[in-house]
Amino acid sequence: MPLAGLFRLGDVWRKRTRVARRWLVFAAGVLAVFGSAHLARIGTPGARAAAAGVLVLLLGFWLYWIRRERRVALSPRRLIERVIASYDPDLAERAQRALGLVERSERTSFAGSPALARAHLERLVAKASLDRVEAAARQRAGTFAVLAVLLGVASTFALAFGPMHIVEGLDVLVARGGRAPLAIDWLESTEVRAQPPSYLRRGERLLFTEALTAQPVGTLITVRGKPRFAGRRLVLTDGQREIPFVEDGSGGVVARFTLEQNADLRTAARFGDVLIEAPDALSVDAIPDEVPRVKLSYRDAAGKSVPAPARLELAKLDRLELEYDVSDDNGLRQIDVVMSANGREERRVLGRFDGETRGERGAHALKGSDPFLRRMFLPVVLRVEARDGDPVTGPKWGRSEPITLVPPTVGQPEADRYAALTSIRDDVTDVVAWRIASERETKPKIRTERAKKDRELVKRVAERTSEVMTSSYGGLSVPEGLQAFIQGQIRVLQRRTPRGASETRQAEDVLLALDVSLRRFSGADARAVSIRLGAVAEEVADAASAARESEDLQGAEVRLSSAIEALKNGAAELRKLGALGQDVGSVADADLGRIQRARSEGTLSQVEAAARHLAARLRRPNPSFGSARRGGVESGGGAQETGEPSQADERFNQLADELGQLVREHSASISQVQRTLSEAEQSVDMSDLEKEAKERADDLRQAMNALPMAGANPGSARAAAALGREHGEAMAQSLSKLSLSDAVESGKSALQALKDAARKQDGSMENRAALEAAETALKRELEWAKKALERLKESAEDKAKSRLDQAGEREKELARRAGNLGARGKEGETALPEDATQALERAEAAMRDAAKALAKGEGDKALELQREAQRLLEQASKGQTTGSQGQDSKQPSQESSPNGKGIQTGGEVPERSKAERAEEFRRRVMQGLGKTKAGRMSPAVKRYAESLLR
Amino acid sequence: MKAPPLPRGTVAERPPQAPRRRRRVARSLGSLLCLGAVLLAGTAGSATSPRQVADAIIELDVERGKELLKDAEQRGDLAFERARLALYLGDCETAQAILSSPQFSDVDEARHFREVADGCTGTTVGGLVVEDKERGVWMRLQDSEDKALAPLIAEVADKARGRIEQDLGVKMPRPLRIDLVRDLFSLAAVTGLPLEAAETTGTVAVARWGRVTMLTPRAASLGYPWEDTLAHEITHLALSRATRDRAPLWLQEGVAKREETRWREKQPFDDADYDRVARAAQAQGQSVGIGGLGSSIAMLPTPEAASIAFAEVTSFVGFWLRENGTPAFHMLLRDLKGVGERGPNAALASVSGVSLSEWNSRWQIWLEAHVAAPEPPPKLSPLEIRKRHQRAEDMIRYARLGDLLFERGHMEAAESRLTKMFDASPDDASLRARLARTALAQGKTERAKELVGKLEDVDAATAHWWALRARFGLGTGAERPGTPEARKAAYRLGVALDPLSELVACGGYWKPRGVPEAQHSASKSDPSAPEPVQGAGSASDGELAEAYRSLCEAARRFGRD
Repeated sequence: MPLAGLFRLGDVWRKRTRVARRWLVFAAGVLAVFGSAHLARIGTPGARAAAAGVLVLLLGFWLYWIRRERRVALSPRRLIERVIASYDPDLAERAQRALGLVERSERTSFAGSPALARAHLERLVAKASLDRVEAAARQRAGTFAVLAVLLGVASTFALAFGPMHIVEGLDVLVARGGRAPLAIDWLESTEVRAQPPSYLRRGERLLFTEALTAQPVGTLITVRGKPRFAGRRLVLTDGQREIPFVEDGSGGVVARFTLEQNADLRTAARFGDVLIEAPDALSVDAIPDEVPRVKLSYRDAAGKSVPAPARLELAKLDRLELEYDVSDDNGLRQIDVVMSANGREERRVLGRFDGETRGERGAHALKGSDPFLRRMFLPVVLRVEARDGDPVTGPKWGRSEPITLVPPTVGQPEADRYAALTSIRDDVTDVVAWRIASERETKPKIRTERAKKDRELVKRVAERTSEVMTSSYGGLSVPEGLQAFIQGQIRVLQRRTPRGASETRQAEDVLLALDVSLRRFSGADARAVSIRLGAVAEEVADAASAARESEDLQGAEVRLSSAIEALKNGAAELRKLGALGQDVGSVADADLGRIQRARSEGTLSQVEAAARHLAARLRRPNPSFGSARRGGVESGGGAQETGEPSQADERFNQLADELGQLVREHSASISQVQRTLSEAEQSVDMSDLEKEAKERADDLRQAMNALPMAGANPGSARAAAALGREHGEAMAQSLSKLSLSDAVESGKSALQALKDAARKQDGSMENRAALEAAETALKRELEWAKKALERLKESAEDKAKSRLDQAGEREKELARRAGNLGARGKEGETALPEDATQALERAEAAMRDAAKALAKGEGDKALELQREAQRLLEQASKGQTTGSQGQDSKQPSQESSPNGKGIQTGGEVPERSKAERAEEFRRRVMQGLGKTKAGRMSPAVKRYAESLLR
Repeated sequence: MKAPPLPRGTVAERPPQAPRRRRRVARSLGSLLCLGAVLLAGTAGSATSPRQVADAIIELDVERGKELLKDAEQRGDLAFERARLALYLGDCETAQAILSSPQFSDVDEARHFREVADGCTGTTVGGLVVEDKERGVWMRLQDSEDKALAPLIAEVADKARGRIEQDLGVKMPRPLRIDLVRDLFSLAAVTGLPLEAAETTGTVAVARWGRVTMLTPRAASLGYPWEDTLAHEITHLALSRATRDRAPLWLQEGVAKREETRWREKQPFDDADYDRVARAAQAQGQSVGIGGLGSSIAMLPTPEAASIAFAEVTSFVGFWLRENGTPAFHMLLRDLKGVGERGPNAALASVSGVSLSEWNSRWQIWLEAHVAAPEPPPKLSPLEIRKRHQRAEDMIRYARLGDLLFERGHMEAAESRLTKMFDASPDDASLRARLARTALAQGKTERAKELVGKLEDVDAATAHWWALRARFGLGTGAERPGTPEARKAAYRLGVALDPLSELVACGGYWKPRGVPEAQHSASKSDPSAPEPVQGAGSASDGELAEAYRSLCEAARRFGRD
């Protein structure tokens, strides 16, 4: 083998340089990895790609180098080049040429003998010195070693600069999806605290960092710790949100995270786009603030509680009793009852809360005559809704299941009521007819029989009247004024006629009186219903307009159909309401025909135009032909029957007005007497009592001091004693102000309370001696106050005698008027019900007694009698026959009181300039306060109100 | 541009005239618009001017109006006339759409038109249109229940139009447009007449916008003489046609009043004496005067003043016609049409040689000389006054009692109460009709017939009274009793007054309502009675016989009685 020598030289070369070469490669590799890690740590995609590129290049170079070394080892030419050329380039060149000759000679015969060529090569290789090759190899190894050391030093420096950087860099380098695979604990001494949202009013809590915890939504989670490695961008993350840690000023870092949903909270370091998370996570379950739960039920006719959902006929409800049970996990803010229908909504607050109340049960009653319900003509959806106080995600409303109230057709209650009222008139007509027929009868026996039947008919009228008056018609009742009028007339019908007077005439008068009043009443009702029906027509127009413009055609069509149906039914009911109702109702029918014709032709603009015209017409509920009953070519031509066949209801209304006036004047008279007495009392000189009263007040306060303060269990002896103390102190205060009347009142209350305390043996009041001492002191001071007050009153009455005398004259005059009204109330046309006439008689008697007492100067007694008379007068005053019906369009607030006696809202506080009214207002408040003596807080309330009014 | 045509109402004639300054402004504005129109017309190369179109429409020649506007659809200056034409054609929606254009927002006249178009649209959309092409009558009914009246209206309108055309020497265009509205509210909305004025004076119809707008007889609880009213309003339209709407108010109303009964045969109780009323007003100082009519009779303060005004203009026109003759009257109408800015007095002077004030003086002198002044009312003692007052109260009392007892089915009792009135007022047709009904309900047919038997028993007729005469075949006195002609004649007179009363529409028959079973005495009423309306229509009536049946059914559905 001619190349054996050459390969031997190559082995020597490799052996001599192997170690150094490997160290060099290793050092270079380490340095490249460290460099790549630092580059990758930047975290941006470019940096990470560059770092990865460096490593790939390094690997490629290494593989290339191994392959190359192998090829060198096997290739004679490369061996010559590496080994021989390293110390004798000339020899190497000649050896290369010899090698070329060998190769050529082996391929062709033109290059000479192959053997000769190999011999030539062997000779040349033999000339190479092994020693010199070894020397050259050692020299190359040394170079490698130096380089390896240099690279090793550089790598060491790279490592020393930040060993974690290398780890982080490599971690970042191999990250996937922005998350590094190797978790690193970034914080030490970690502390986690949870602060629930403030509206929950809970304190801050320390959490175990590695435990599962559940916290309300909105909780502020604070993570605090010391960073293990400086200079990292630490964050707190739940995988979606990142909250950066900031320095807490004491060498640590802190991050605050608001909990919104379930989260695994970890600390992490951000390197460009890559996050290196800590190994352990804090798992927090977010507890959402739940929507308040609302349960709604109602009481049925049998008093049984029935849960919603339900569907009820409003016409059959006089009163709907709702019961609700509301609960919330964190606390309630408000509970409303909400009624909605055809785009309108009414919300009434049932209760407002402080946000801490977690449960509330209550009841609410709705009247069938509720103004909102009365205005509705489409089903009303009623719910109870509750709001919590969640400021984090915003307040949430919980809703109950609905109760659907199906309102009666517009005008149906009025039509039913009118039908019931006309049935009375019909019965009276039967009586009239019977009496007319009886008049002709001459045989005594038959006359007696007919008289018996007559009584039966009258009895039937009375029974029917009673039934009609006490019935409810879809939440409506017969107005009190009309009730009084009809009952008065029925009383006349029942009354025996004086000898010689015609029973028939009497019944006819009653019939005509009822007829006229019912016609007026039906007219007023028809007007009110027509105006409401106008709103329905407006709804038809709006629905048609919406149907033209809405994208929800089906919904708009349903709305239009419902409104048209309501209008049609309402028009039918309106036609039942007397002549005006018949007239205006038939106008509505006519325009309904146009609306339906236009609808069937699909011209919604015409539906709208016709409906708006009808709405305007119904809002002006005059007869079709003005006030005339008959038209004519000549205006005013043609004989007209004018006037009414009975003036009874006009006269009755006049009497009602006079009675109302009397009530007002008498009330003013009472006020005048009160003022007279009060001024007289104030004018009495009590300076001689002043000092003594103050001393006695001090004594009383001392005695009361031994009693317990308020705050004991209600109903206990201690609580009664505390109440006694309150009253006692009020008495002391009144005494010191020389307000003897108040002092006596307070003293009486205090004494009563102390007696209660003494009687109760529940062990809550141990200091019985103090109780007895207080009672004794109280009795003593009360006795003194009473005597002083008596003296004061005597003096005051003496002073006020002349003015009381005048008041007595006035009272006598008012009594005369009451007597006159009472007498007129017994007459046919203006007959009042029996209870009203009796009340008037008693009022007159009381007023006469009051007048006598005033004449004698007995102010207090007179006042008492006057108040009794006032109560009786108010009892007798029932209002007018049309009640509030005729004013529906002008005063919607009166809708709430179909009987005309409901509480009026919308009053106003008198202006300062209107001194008299203001004074009257003040007096009314004081009287009202005077009536509420009972109750633990009454003295305090009174003091407070007095200070307000002063 | 021309001012809108003035309304011709039975009572309401014209809307209140604008203050002079406003009219001057409107006229200036109109002139400007006309000038603009002329310029535009010139540029458009069309010869049609707004004035021409307005004149054609106001003369009710809507076909010519259409022709003039046909090729000028793009011309903005004619938009107003297109709106006018639409209103005259009863197409209120189109008028409303045209007038809603911003170009009209500042024009007073257009604003008024717009208000009318709005009201008219709301009132008439979806209305039932009935057209009698043969007679040339177009009717639009707000209440489709009035369909039963349509053939009767068409018949009356045709007859009245024919006579009026003859009297005025004018040919009316076809079709005649009639809007039958349900109430005064709608009447005011369609015509633009102030509602309050209509309610005050009791207006029942208005001729405006080339149409007759009339209240349906169902609106008035006792009906009204709708046939004469219709004739009255057609006269206004005819005068508009003849004079291009330039006839003065006194002429409009005087002629309309004269014509309202001339289209038909004379009827019993057709004896209104306008000369006497005018003389009484003159004597008592209550005269309104020919020159004191103001802007419209509907604007007079009271119904009584309106009555006097009507009587005076009717008397005055009668006097003028007697003095000058019909040819002069025709000439006056022609002169008025062409009189232009010179005013109607110029035409009057031109035709008769005498001014209006002179004619007024002559008429007043004639009244004084030829019509006896009414006797002053006798001076009554307080006792007499009290007695009269009591009697009036009793009448009201017993009438109502009678009605209540009748409705409840107590016929004997009702009769006894009504009889109490009878002695005091035996010539009251309404009372006689009531009594006759109670008699019928008790089966006393002869008594009922006796009560409505003689024309001379009553001082004035009522619809119910005629209806019962129709039932008994008593007629109007001109026919042989018991014949179909007699039934029909009386029936028609009832229908002419109150067609939607069940008793009237059903030829004197009615169905009792609201009577308790036990007291159903009304059911005794003539059990052998023929079917309602039988006999009211004859074989020759054709469609009218059917109309009578429909009318009876409609009246029953209405249920007012």
